[in-house]
Amino acid sequence: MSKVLHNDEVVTNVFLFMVAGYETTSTALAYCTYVLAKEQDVQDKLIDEINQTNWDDIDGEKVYETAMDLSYLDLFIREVLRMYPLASKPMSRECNTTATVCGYTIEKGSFIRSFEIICNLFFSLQERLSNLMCSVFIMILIYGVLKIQICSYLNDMKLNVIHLHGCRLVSVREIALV
Amino acid sequence: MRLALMEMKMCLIRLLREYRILPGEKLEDGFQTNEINVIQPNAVFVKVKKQTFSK
Repeated sequence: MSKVLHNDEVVTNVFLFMVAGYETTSTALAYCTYVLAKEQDVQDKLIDEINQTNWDDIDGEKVYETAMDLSYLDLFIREVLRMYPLASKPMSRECNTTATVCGYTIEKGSFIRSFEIICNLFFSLQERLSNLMCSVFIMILIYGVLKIQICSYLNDMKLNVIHLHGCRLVSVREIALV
Repeated sequence: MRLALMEMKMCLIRLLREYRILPGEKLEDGFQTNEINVIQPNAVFVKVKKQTFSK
């Protein structure tokens, strides 16, 4: 292997930076705006925290450090990202061996993914964190033990919710009404 | 992630120093999410109100 970056590698990486960096950030800001509009008291607290700093007196790079130190702003953004996850496609996994989970067969070639928005309604923070960090198959094992529902896309692309212990399949519409 | 967080924070700080975000009339109507590359809302309708702080 050559130690020099090939042209193609540079191009593909730049493309990845563009894709990963553009829409995600702007969409996250759109969700922030939505939450701010809805939750005026949260906005009050944020404005308070921001105005405690006299931004005009801070020079150059110090601004970024100061911004990163605002704890409420940090919590706010993380909470918005929790409530409105931006992506779930990249976290989907393809099943490479047909397996049976609690009586439900997941066939080879199925796309399994968690449906974070619905997961957020059910899972505690701890579980959500592991949700983000584990691969979905590991998730199935963990959540199987914890008796929690997971949602998945099956290969017929119908969105279903598997209750791992009840082995009941319900549609998302039903869940949304709960 | 770190850069994106910083971008978002700088943007929000800049915005909230001068403006207050108020819900628009069609806020909920526009907030239908769909997934293309990312899960995004169709539109977020808000009103912005200029604010001045005596500080």
